[in-house]
Formats: sequence, structure tokens, C-alpha cells
Amino acid sequence: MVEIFSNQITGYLTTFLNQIIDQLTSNNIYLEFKLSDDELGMLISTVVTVVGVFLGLYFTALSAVAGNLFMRAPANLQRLFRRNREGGQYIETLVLTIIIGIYYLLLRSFDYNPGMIGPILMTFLALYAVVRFMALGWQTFYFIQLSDAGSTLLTDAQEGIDGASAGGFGWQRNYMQAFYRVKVKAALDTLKDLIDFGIESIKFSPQQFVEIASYTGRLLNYYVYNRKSIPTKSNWYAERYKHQNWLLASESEIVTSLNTGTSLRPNNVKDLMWFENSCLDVIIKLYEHLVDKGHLEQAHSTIEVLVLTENGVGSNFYVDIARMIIEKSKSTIEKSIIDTPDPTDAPTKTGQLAILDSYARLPTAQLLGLLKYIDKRDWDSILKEIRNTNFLTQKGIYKSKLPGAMLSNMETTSHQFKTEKAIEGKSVSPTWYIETLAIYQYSSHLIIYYDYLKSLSEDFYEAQIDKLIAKQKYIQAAHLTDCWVEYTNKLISLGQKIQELVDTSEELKKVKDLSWKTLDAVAEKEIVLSLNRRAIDKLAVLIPQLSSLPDSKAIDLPDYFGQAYTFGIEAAYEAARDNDPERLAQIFPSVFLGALAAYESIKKEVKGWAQDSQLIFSSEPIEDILSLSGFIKIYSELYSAPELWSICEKAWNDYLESVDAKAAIELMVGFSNYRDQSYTVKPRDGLRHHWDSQLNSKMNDAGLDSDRYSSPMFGREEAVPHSSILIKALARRYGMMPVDARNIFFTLFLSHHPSIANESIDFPDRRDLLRSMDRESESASVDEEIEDEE
Amino acid sequence: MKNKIISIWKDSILPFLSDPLYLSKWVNESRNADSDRRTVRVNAGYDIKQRRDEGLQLFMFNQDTTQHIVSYRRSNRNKYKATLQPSQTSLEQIVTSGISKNHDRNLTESLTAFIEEANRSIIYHAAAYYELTCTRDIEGNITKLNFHAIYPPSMKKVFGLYFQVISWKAARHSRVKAGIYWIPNSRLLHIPFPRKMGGAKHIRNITKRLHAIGQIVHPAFHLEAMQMNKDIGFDFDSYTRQKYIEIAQLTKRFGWSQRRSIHQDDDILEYYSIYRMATAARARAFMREYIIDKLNKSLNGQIMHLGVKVSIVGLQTTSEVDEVIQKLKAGNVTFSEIVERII
Repeated sequence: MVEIFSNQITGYLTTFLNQIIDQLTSNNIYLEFKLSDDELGMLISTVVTVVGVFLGLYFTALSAVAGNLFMRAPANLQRLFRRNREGGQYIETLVLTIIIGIYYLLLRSFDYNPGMIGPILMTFLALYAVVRFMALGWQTFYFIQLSDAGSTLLTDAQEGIDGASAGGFGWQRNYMQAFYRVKVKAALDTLKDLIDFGIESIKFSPQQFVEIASYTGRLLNYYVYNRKSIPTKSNWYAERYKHQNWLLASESEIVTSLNTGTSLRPNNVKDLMWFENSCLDVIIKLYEHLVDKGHLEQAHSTIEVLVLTENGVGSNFYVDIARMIIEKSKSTIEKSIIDTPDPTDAPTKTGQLAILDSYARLPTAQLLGLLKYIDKRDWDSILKEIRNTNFLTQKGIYKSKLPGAMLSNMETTSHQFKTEKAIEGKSVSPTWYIETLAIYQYSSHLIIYYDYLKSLSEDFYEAQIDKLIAKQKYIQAAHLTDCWVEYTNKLISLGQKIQELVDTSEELKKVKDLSWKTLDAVAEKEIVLSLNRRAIDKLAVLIPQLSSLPDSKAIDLPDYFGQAYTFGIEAAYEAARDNDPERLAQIFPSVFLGALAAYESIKKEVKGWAQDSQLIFSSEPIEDILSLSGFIKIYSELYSAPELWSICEKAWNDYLESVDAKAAIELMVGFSNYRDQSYTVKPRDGLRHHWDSQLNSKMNDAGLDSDRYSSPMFGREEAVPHSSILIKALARRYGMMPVDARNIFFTLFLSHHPSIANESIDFPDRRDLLRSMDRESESASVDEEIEDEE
Repeated sequence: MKNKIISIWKDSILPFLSDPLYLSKWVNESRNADSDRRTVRVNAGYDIKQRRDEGLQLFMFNQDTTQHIVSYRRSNRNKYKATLQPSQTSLEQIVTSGISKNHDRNLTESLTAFIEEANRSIIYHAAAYYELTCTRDIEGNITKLNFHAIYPPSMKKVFGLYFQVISWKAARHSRVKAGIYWIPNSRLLHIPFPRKMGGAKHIRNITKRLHAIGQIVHPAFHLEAMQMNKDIGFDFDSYTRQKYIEIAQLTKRFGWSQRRSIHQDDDILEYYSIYRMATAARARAFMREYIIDKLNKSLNGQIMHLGVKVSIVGLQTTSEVDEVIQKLKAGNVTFSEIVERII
């Protein structure tokens, strides 16, 4: 504001002065100068005095600031502060006014009349100095405005990036590339010093640090999108030496060494990640400071900055940047969150969870970056981008829209293509070959990035979850597992898209013996699905620990237990459905305990509700576990896999031994009878109905299509081709009818429990299962007799 | 005293009087044993231009274009065969021993040696010259024929007539008679560098530049700087690359790879690398066919008039290589299959 105002005033003054001079020179108006000699002397001395005072004020202010802050700042920060041009202009104006004033005063002492131009000029200079003083006063805040100083530095860095990018001033000249690197490096180093200065000397507010992190994140994001415009051999990248192997060195280098009698020159290896490294250091430094000071909300915001940069990483297939972000944040998060004791106070706990949430979303953001990018693309659009890339011009490949990870390959292609043109005077390699190469490189990098994303499942999530479990930080572990499940689900979608893209690239491969990377559709699907299963199983295993934690609502946390239980019970069903006893053995005991804990938990939750609702809702977990046990029994019979059933049976026996078995069974039967009397749709009926559908599908796959054996027209009398009496009986039911798994469990297991041997308990059995099974049993023995006779 | 004067007279004055221009001063009769030829056999050693170090690049280029002209792989040597049509055993033996003195076991070996020798001469001197001679029996049937190689720099063509010019220097070095020998066109087989491959001027330029490039492996100023561990800003990699490009430009009609394998050559695309291999195969086939064609014309020319034709079966023709190139250009190919077909 002040700057605009001062600029306007300066503009008005200039215009006014010009008008006066025009008037005087054209002689149209006579401007009378009425000051007497004394008044003129008074005016000049007043101006000189006032200006002198302002000069004094400036240096006083400067001394005060310098005394307090400026002198304590490191040299590069002092340079940054001195870059303020307002102060320089102000001093120059004051000094000029005083010199002119003293000169006129000296002339007057010799009785010389200075005329009217000089005093008018002096007056305007003095007015201008006052306006500059106001502007300067405003600028003094520059010292203590971290964000302003930070933005200046980041603007410098951005200018450096632009300069080094294709089309920037001197972007192809080695010395200009090096200049841009030095400039940007200096800006980032100064930024780090500024943060230190802010931490140690000025005590900036946490929000100011978040602003700096946000600026730095935006700069990093800007760079990630622009990195592909910078040649990989540019001096923008710092170099380090790497010694060569004599047996692998190029012929020219060996000749040089032999001729000169010297050893092989070390190769200069480019440090392609120096910029990302520096930016991440800034963000991590801010995060660590904020965590140290207990500002967890702001610390969370700094990690969130990293999440926002990931879009560009994914869309450019930058495995190196993605890995660096993960590694750097991993080490600091482990130090500050994972390896520290579990906090007891709610704010710290929620703060840490928020940080963990952002941290856990880093891989998801890297995945989504790719998914969003790839979702809009097919080979036609990719080919269009390839065709729009000119491999023969200097800027062509650096202006390409193709992913940045391909740049190095594109540079090689461009170099080779240009050499070919230099040799032949024309391009010999046909367009289809260049396209094939680009497609080959594209799909290779895509698969490399996809492989990296798959590796995160184990290297990032599972490793971190195990650490949290080891530290008994179950809520954090559950949260991270929840993110892992989400991640693997997204990975499944991404895998399908990539598979589709890779499969359809076949016809674009015009060179058959290039070593094309391929994805085995079946194996890939299984890998990704198994990752998803592992994530869900990990969540299911946490159920007992989560059930014993204090009520998470008290500290306003998501219902981790409920989520783990829901995922777990579904996973246990899938394990039985897929005949995976190992998985079932791992999950079922946790789910079983979870169901009992959920019953207790819901009972407390629904206190005060209508009695009907209380009974229906609180009995839902019991209904779940009874039905699940019934299904396990069915699948055990269907697959002739008794080990499935033994896992379930053992869990029930252990439980019934540890409690009053009769009371527990009566309670369960009571719940079931009550529920059967109510014809309303129960809260989790949909889930259990889905289990029914899946069983139907599996029975159909096994050739036990229920319609075939239940229909009076086709097969009522036909023998069901299965050894299990239970399965035979189930195959006779009409297809649309549910199998009534809960009642199967009652009939085949609970009703035979020794604790109720002499009791008369009214077990529900809507389908009269025992009679159906007896009928199948008799029919089977008749068949056997006929077979024996034959 | 008298004897001494007579001795001087005999040794110095008499030879001078009998051969005042010293044309026969250095003649060694055994060198002129081929009495049926008009030209003389000279050694290239007298020629400073030819004697100087040819340089690595020129040496490799000549070796690569010559050694593989008939067959790229040694293992292929039993897959091709030279034939004489119409087939006549006695005539085949005469031709076999006539076109190559050192490889006269069978026509295939003899013809291979002839083609390689002619090609070497064409690459080095932009032409190959042979003087044709034959011996006939009483009935006029040819019993022996010869293709006497003539050192190309000694040949001059004036108004359509061919002369061999033997300077005193050449005569002294080769122990032959100095002089100018006229060779009738009918007795001469002249194989110039083919126009379709750029003509004589083009191959001379190639050899001249390859020779020049081959002289400096490493610039002296850079060697000095290296020895003193001084960085003078000289980009040796760029220097090497520029040399590579110039040689590739010069030899593009021959598709010479400069002995870089496909996987070793980082300067050009794999496609172009294979294209150059195909070009090299085509150049070999073309030169082979060209030399055989010229040989056949001589065998059926005015002097010999044999009414036969030599040819090689089992080797790729230019049109077959052209087909492979067209297939390569069309795409949907397997590079290894293309390479297999052209080498």
C-alpha cells in the first residue's frame, strides 16, 4: 500500500514539476516568486534541518535493528536483508537534498541569490524523502517477516529453475547452467539459515514455519513438473567423481591413459537429486522443529505439504523422487512418532495420528498421481504425445509432455537420431521405429514405477505396522493398516489399468525382439490381491488389542475396532470360501474374540434405545459369528477340508470351556429365536446375504447347481454327486433360498455340546436340516446297496 | 694401366653408349620371366605416397571391405561355390590357374582370391588393372591364360590409350626396365571404382580422409596437457565423436561400422546400425557382382574369347539384400532375423 502510495506521489510531483517548467518556458503564465531573502534562507535551512533529522532517524532505526537482529544474522542473511533497495534510495535522496541545501546556504553567505528553481527542487526532494521514509518504515518488517524473506528466496530459486530449463537464458551453456545451480543452492542454503535464525533469534510463530514449508513444497512441486525440461547432463546438476573400471572403460579413454601414462580419469557423475534433497531437508527441518516444540497440528501441515507434491511424481514415473520422499519422511517419522512411547494425553495422540495419517497417505498420493495420469490415457493419446515430440530439435524432447522419467532415454534417442542425420544428411530411421522405442521406454518406466508402488506395501506399510505393534501402539497400527487396506484397494484398480495398457501395446511393438517388459495378468492379479489380503489380515489380527483399548470416542478417533472387526469377519469368510486354512487359522480366533467384544461394546452403546432395537443391534455380532461358523462348516464339507472346521471348532470349544457354556448357548439361541420372529431387515443382513450368494456360486462351480437337484421336473430323484450328506441336503434346496448357515451351526455343533446334553433347548431349524440330511443319508445307502448288487 | 682404362671403358662408358638413358640399368632378367606380357611388375615400395603409414582407419576399412567381400563369416565358406558355365573341366582348370596364381586348387578359391585382390586395389587405388595374356596350341585352343596384375599408379590413360609408365626410380626399386609401355585395350582388364558407388573421385577422397584421420589418434597439445595434469578445456570425447561422424559420413555407401558392434555403438540408433550393416552387405554384393561381371567380359573378350561365364552360387545378390532392406524399412521385424540374413 505504502509503496503504491509513494509511487503515486512521486508520479504526481513529477507531472506537477513538468507542468510548471512547461508554463515557465512557454511564458504563458507568469509565476511570481514572492519569497524574501530571509524567507528563502529560512526555507532552505528548514529543509536541511528536517532532512538531517530524517537521516538521523534512519540511522538510529538501523542501529537499533542492527544491534538487535542484523548483526546476529549470518552473512548470507545480511546480504538478503541488504537487498532492500528502499533504504538505498532513501539515503541517496536525503544526502542529495542536504548537499544542495548547504550549497545554497553557502552561496547566500556570498550574497548570491539562488533563484526559485533550486528551493522548489529542494522542497520536492524533501517531500519525496518523507514518502520514502514511510515506505522504508514498512519495509523494516522485512527483518521479522519470515514468509516475505522466504518468498524472496524461493522466487530466486524459481528463477534459477526457469533459467536452467529449456528455453531459459543460456540454458545450453555450461557456465549459465552452473550459475543457476549456484544461485538456487545459495537461496536454499539461505532459507535454511533463515529458519535457524527464526528459531533461535526471532522465535517465529509455528504458522510462519508452516508458510515456509508450504512455499518450499510448492517450489518442489514446481520443480518436479519442470525437471524434465532440464537436460540430464546439464551443469544444473552438481557433479561428483566416480572411479572407472579399466575393463569397462571406453576405448578413447583407455587410449588417452595409455598415451599419457596416466590412470583413467574418474567419471563425473551427476547428482540428479540435489535440489529435491535440499527442499526436503528444509521441510523435514521445519517438521522436526515443530514436533520438538509440541506443535503437532502445524507439524502435520508440513507433512501434508509432501502429500501435495506427489501428483507430479506419479505422473512423471519418478521412482527416485518418490523413494527419496518416502525415505526422508520415514526416518523422521520413525524418530518422532513410531519409536516414541505411546502418548497418554488426547491432544498429543490425535496430533500424532494426524501426522501418521498424512505420512501413510504419501504412498497413496504417489499411487494416485499415477492413477489419475494413466486413467485419462490410452495408446492413442500416448502416441499423439510421442508424435508431438521432436527428437531432432534442441528443445523438442525437453518440451515433451511424456513422463519425465523417460528423459534420459529420450536424450539418448535424440542424440543417436541427430548423429544419424548428421551422417546421412537425412533421417534414415523411420517414424515407426522412433515410436516403438518411445513406447518401449514408456511401458518400461511405467512398469518400474508400478513395481516400486507394489514394493511399498511390504517395505513401507507392513514394516511400519510391525514396528507399531511391537511398541504396543495399536491405534496407530490400526490407522496405518486402514491406510494400507485403502492403498492395496487402489493398487488393484491401478494394476487393472496398467495391465490393460500393457496388454494393448502388443500391436505397437514393431520390433519384435526388443526386450519388452510384460506383465503376467494372472500372476499380477494374484500378487496385488494377496497384498490386499495381507493388509486386511493384519487389521483382523489387531482386533483383540483394539477391543481392549479405551473407548476411542473419548478422544474423538475413528472406530478402529469396528472397522477391524468388519474387515476381519469378511476376511475370515473369504479364507473359508477360498479353502485357505492357514489364513483362517490366523484370523478366525481374533474375529471370534472380536465378535464377543463387539457384542459387549454395542450393548453399552445402545443403552436407552427401544428394547427391540437394543436386542437386534447388540445381537448382530453374535449372529455374524454363528453364521460365519455355519459357513465354515459348509465349506469344510464342500471341499472335504476338515482342517477348516477344526479351526472353528477349536475356537468355540475354547470359548465354551472358559464360560458357563449352557448359559452362553441359551443366550445365543434366545437371540436367534427373537431375531427370527422379527421380519424386519437386520443391520448386517446384506453382508450375510452376500455370503449366501458366494456359496451358491461356489456350489455351482462344483457342479452342485441347486436348481438342478431341487426341481421336481428335472432332478428331484437324481443323486447329488458329492460325498457329504450336508452338501447333498443343501443342493436339494431351491436356489433362491438362503442356506441358513447359523441354524446349520446350531444343528450340527452347538446342539450336541455336552453342557446341554440333558437340556431341552429350542434350537431354530427352519429348514428341518436333520430330516433332510437323514433322507440324503438313506438315499445314499440305498444307492450303495444297488451298486454292491450290480 | 691399360687394363684399368679398358675396365673403366667396359664398366662405365660402354653401358652408357649402349643405354644412354639408363633405361635398362637396373634390369634383373628374372623379373621379366613372363615373356608374354608387355607390362612390367613393379613393387609399390618405391612410391613414397603409398609407402607411408596408411593409418589405422584406412587399414581397417580396406581390410573389412575386402576380407568379407565374398563371405562375411568363415563358417559360410563351404556354403557357396564358383561355377563355370558351360561346364568344361579342362577350361575350368585353365581359368582357375589363370585368375589367381597362388590359389589354384579350385575355381571357388581362385575366384575368391581374384575378387579380394581386385577389390583391395579398387579401394586403395580407385582402379584395378590386369594385362591379359594367353597361350594357344597348334589348333588355336587356349592352353594357358594369365591375368597379370599391374600396379595401378603406374598406369596412365592418354586419349583412350593405356600406357604403363616406369620411372627410373621405380625401375631401380623393382629391378625392371624404365620406359613407357603401351598396352592395347584388348589386352587390358580395367576395373575402375564403380560410378554407382560414387566414382573414383569419391573413393580417393575417402582414402585420403581416412588416412588423415588415422594419423592423429590423440592431439599432441592435449597429450602434453594431460601429462602435466592441466585441464585446457579440450573435450576428447567430442573429438572422438566428431571423428566417428566424419568416418561414418565418408563410408556411408559402404555401411562401414568402424568395427563397433550393434550393442557397443552408443552414437547411433540400433535401427540405423542394422541399416548400415545391410548397406555394407549390399556394397559387398554389388562390388562382387561388378568384379565378376568385368572378369566375364575379359574372358569373353577379343583376346581370350572363351565363351564361358564364371559365377558364384550360394551368396546373396544385391536384389536379395534390397529385399531385406525393404523388409527392415517396413517394420514388424525381428532385428536378429534381419542381421542373420545379411551377414
